[in-house]
Amino acid sequence: MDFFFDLFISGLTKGSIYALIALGYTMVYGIIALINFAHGEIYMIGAFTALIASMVLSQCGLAGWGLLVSVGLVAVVYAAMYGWTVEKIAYKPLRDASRLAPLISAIGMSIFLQNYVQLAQSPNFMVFPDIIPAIGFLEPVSHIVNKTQLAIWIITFLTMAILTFIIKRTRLGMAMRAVAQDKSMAMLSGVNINRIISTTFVIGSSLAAVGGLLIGCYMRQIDFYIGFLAGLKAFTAAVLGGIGSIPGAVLGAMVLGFAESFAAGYISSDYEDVVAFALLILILSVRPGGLLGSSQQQKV
Amino acid sequence: MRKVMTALAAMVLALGSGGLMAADQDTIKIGYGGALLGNLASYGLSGFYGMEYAVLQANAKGGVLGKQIEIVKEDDGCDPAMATNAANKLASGGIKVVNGHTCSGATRSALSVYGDNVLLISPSATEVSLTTDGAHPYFFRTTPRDDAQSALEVQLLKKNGYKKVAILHDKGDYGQALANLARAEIEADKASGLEIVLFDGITTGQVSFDSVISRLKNSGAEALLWGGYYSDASKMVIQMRNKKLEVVVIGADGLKNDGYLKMAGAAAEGTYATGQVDLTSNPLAQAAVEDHKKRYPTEEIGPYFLYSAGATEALLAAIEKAGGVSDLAAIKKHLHEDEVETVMGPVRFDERGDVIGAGFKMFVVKDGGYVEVEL
Repeated sequence: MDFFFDLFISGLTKGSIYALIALGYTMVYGIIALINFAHGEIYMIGAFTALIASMVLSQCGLAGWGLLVSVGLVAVVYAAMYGWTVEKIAYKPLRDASRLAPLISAIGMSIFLQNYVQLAQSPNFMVFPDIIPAIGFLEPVSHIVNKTQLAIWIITFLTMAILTFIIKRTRLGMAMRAVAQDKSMAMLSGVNINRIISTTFVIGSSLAAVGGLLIGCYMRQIDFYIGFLAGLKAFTAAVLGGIGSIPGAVLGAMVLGFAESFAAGYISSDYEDVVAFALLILILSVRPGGLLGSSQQQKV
Repeated sequence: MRKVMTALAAMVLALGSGGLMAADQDTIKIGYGGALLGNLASYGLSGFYGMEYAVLQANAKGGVLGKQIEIVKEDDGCDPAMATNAANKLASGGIKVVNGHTCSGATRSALSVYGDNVLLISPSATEVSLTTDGAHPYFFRTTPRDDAQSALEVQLLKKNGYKKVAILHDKGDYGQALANLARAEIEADKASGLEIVLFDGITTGQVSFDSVISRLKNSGAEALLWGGYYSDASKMVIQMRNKKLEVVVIGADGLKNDGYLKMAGAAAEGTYATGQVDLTSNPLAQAAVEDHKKRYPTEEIGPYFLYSAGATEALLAAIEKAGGVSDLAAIKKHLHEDEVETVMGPVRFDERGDVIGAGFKMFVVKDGGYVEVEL
């Protein structure tokens, strides 16, 4: 039972990280039907920014929760600027081009950002400081659930609650849903489409940066390549849950996290990815739109 | 104007090629292939510095056969695909002898390019079959083989009285081979009472290693034999200690690196790793280390410095006797037959191309440094 519980916890942690990244994929797809392959790189840039910010800010005398929150803010703002710029440079000029063009430009952006960080920062693994303060009541059980895992769950849950609130309850969210449904109709009703799309990128990138910060604290090492596998898995999660659907992305991420964790635990870590992707194929062959995806036909 | 430009360009070209031809005649070119960039660059650079030291020493004494030695280096990032490119570049550039490559996987793919046309001598490729499969007559190495490392690992398990052992590897050429060797060693030694409770490969670069660590915990293993490099191992050991899992980590020379100490920090304490025998008691080696400190005050000397310097010294001696680099068979013969005094002691190679006399020792991480353990 202990073993099951261990695997459950590791699945939940993995799933939470995937979910933070998957939300960015699914939001962007929902609004402009583009798979933003550079999203994994934004996550990586978030992690690097957090690393640099934590060094600078801890030199300035910040510590504890203050340090964590301010490092988080710096990483979010910086990654959001990257997300915003990537959209302006690589996707906006291609908005009316064929659907393949922005896809290629997304892949190009991803390779560019990876190489840029490799050259500008370091090709090596960098040590990430443990900036999550100790949580007193967790110490006796830290071998089961440690502070970083708890922080990952809480922060993921909070960001998702905020996101759901924004989308369901605010004017901005209403405008985003309108753009997702019908761009020209939204424009005719007075929605500033460019602003809404930019905002979507900014929100998605912020979530990815939070993911990058958390995974840095968790793995304690980052390099310029971490965005690739994490981005791929998160993209898989978004597709699994039904791309374009926000609850779907979270559900897909959790399913993927648990599948990987239990496969590695009960079968073999050799088969971790095999099981995860076999599950993806299985689910998509039964429900082509993903778990919560809309099966509604594309209007011609 | 265009004519002037063309004439100028022609002159530059002529000058350039003239210069190259002059260089061709005055120097003996020796290649270096290894990881000069990327994660494992500390290994590759260490080999390069060693080679550079040996070459500078030889050149200061007037070179070999009256010619200066010139190093042509190519980066392979320890990646088999990149190693093929690097090897092609070296071979097509007319290089006949190469020091390298750093990692076993990269060495294997480079060897398939070199064939019988280039002689390769590696200071660090430890994977067993590179020499034992007999497919590469022009391959030599100054490092001892991996099976010496797994034998030591099993010896340590027995000495410390561990019974339940987990073996994990990174599915790479080097790591998986080490894991298989250790498994074979344990299974052959029934009297030891050792039991393998887990044998598995992990995917490098995974978002977390939690589930495999849970499995490790569940298996009840007392010791973990790790087949792979230090970057994955350091992440795993941190997560293991976070989970209060006190399994002893035992690795090979892929783990005995200052990078591991830096990455894993306090979690690295108590990790065992095999590494090449300390050669620094040799006065020639001390002189080499001093020289390195003078030339590169900020660069780590790295684990393969002396092995690479020794390899190059043996190689240059053989080239001298063979009268140049054109006759590889003659160089090969001298490498096998003549004992050369080098920074790593007297060096000679057995019929498979393995160095005679070099060995491994077991080290343990104590107070942030590696300390030798007697077995």
